[in-house]
Amino acid sequence: MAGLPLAALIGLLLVFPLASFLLVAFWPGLFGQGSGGFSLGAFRQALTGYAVQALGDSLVTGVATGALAVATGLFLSWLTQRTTFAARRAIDVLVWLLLLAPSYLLAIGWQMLLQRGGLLWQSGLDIGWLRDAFFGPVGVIVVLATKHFSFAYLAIAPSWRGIGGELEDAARVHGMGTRRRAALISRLLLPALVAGFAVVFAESIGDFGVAATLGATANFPLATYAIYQALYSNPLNFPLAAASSWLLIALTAVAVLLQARVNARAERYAVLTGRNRMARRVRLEGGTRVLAWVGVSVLAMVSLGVPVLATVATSFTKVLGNGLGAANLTLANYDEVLHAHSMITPFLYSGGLAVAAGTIAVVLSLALASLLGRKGGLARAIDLLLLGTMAMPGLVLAAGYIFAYNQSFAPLYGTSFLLGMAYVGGALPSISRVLLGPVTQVNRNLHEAARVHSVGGLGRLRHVTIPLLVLPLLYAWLLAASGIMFELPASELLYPPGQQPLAVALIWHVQNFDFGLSTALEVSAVFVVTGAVLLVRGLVLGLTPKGWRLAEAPSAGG
Amino acid sequence: MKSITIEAAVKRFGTVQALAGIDLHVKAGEFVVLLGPSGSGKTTLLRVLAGLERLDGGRLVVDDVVVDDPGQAVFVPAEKRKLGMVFQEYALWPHLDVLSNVGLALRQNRVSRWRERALAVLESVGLSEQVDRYPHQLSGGQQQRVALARALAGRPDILLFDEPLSNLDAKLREELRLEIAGLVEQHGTTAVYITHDQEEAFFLAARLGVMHRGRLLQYDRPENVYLRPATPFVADFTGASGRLRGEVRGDVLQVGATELRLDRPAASQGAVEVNVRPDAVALRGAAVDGGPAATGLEATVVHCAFSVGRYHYWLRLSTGERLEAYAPERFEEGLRVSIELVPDKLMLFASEGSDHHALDRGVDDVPGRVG
Repeated sequence: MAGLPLAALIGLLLVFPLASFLLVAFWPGLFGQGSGGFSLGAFRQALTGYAVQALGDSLVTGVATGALAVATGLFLSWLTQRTTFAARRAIDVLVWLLLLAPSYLLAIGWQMLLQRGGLLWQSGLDIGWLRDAFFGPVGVIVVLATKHFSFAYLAIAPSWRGIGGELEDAARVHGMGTRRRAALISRLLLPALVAGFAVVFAESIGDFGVAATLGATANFPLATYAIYQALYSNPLNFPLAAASSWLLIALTAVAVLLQARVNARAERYAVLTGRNRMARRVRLEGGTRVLAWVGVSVLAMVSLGVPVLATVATSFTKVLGNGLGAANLTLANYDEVLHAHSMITPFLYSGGLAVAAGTIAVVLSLALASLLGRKGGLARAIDLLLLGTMAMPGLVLAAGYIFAYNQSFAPLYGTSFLLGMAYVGGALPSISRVLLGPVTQVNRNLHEAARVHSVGGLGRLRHVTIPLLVLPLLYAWLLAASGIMFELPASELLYPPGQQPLAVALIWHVQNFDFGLSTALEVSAVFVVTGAVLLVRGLVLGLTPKGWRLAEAPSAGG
Repeated sequence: MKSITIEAAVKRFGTVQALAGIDLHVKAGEFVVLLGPSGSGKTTLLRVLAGLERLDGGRLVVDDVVVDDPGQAVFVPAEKRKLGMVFQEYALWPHLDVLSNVGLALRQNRVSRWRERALAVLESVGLSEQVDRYPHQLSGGQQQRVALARALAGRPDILLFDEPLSNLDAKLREELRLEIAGLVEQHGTTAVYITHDQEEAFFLAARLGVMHRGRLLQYDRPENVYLRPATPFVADFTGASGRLRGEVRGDVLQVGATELRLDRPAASQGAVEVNVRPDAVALRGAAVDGGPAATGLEATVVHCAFSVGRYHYWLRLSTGERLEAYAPERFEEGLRVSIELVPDKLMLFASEGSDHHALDRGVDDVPGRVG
């Protein structure tokens, strides 16, 4: 049985690190780093002063971000699902780009634009109130909301489909007016809205990228950054970091439980099952159409356009603050990125780790997905565990590796191996879920059909399993590897001395005011990674038979 | 073609008893249909035959070879059983074109001239024009034809059908079941077909089994199942949906105030349940107060529908019991009519039988793959 070795691996990669770290909150002396037996002192500290302020900031940020993101997601999903809005595809592209974009890169882009001496400043357009607002709660919330509304969008969009068509026709036919129908629809959308809110809330309070960049610069401490400080800056306080992590997890749990409750109630209506014709799309005309275009354009600019343009502009600037004239334009930053050893090394280092850890993560996720597709207690336990880890801030898991593997029996702390392990552990929960659908489909029907028609094990592998899973595996791998390439929390906590991963190098240059270099490195890295992704995808698609690309087409009508 | 023998088959999923001791023998070359509501265990039985589920108890023998016997730790996996199977949701491989879907198993088993053979089967299901299409380019009916061709192509010992027509519309269903009957007959293969549709079951079966709650209630020629159902459930599920309470003394059956003389003394005496098919009810016209019909049974017309050249009636007795009947002339809804029962077409069951409580289909639907 393959279940037990997998369970053991999950134990090593997820359970042991998390437990080691989180237990320090109760037993400060557990690993010899502190002293004393069982104590709740760390929680007392976590509920006072800076720590509780950071937690409060995170809570406020999470709620505000969730509300903003849900409103945005609702608006966009209405446009794409229920209207004839012409740029529906563009909205989907925007959503996916934002899903892939690391939050710290968006934050840095805004920083380049608005900071004292930034792009606006040098063009003589410095707007004091905007800068003050941005370098504070408002900026943090806006950047997190623009990064995360994609989650809300993806949660809400399918339920427009579910409640369309006949349900709305039924309401019309039975004489309900516009207001009653709107009330009915919002009632039916509620579970999706709450789900979107819960996901965005959890992602926002667990985010480290914005907390470590904008939050830190703006003196608006967030919980993840406070945890990082307790682990890394004097005075070191591991029990406090662990206790704060517990509180952060508790906040996440509240959101997740709220969502589960609303979902359980909604399932009793069971209105989202069965066939349903698509609803008629509303024709957008006149003012509404203009409003929709303006709204979407502003959103695209604020979420992606502005940070990207600001980043690119900065990368071509000699000295930020010396104006936008031709004299201040340069390619020197790129020249240095391409030639300086110190710039290429982080890129290659992260690239190597991304390929290795991404590959391992995909192989393990494939095994996990086949296990999860089966019934049984072990599968259910692992499933719950993976879901739990997915809701957990990446920083907390990464912190776990410090404690678990800085032991005499496992002296891995400070090695690239451990960093790679953390990348694998961090990627497993989401990547195994990405693969669950395709693997289950293949395992069930299509495998059974091959078996009853006397296609043996090797034949099934060659003609059914591999053809149907190659593309899902490719996409999972690209997702895992490109995610690891720009991963921040584990990189920041676990990188070996003298070997900066890409994300650490990018932030380090920003903190050293090498804005041109940092942004040039970032633009180059994004460029190269995107190119590599397209190249690999193109190669695989070009080399595989036509039928393999149909793998995700529906297998049955009816 | 091979025979199939199932002895005391038991299968559990957690607390659900999907097969509760099934004995069944399928002769070589016979077309057997297993009929039952969802949750009756028919899907499980088919998957056991396919080797996709393993028995918890009992054994399964194909010809003289034991293929599944947990007691002896014998289990022959699906791919070694030489089967063909048509799935409810077709389960065509989406990445292979029609020819490859049909030919894959042949190629894998090194059948010489596999292409000719696959093409010949595809022609027999009327798909020779579509060989290079992919499944998503075909209609539901065409997809199921490909699945049928795939199942036939390997010249299997046994053909299995898992409600293959339930995703298709009525017209196509009729068309395809005729084709299935013809093709299976032509290939002479032993076939086991499961369905919840009684019309389909009677159409196809050389021998018909009725399943309920993991048990095989009756297994016989279709006409015997129809005329002499073993339990009220079988009667009801095969169309005898009218049910009356009655009492038997000797050869006299009393229903309400009416006494009917039976051809022969009934096996069960005392309180009985009477299952009635529409053709056991004769509609005598409007009831007349105090008239000769007053000694007979009276019912109210609940609904009248014109159906295949005659009228189909849904009737309610004053006791609330319901019957169906056919008649050549129309009676309006709400009219009180006088009816007579045809004694030799009535099906009598002793009242204490527990089976008839299970008629409320749907209540015993169990989740999971027990259908």
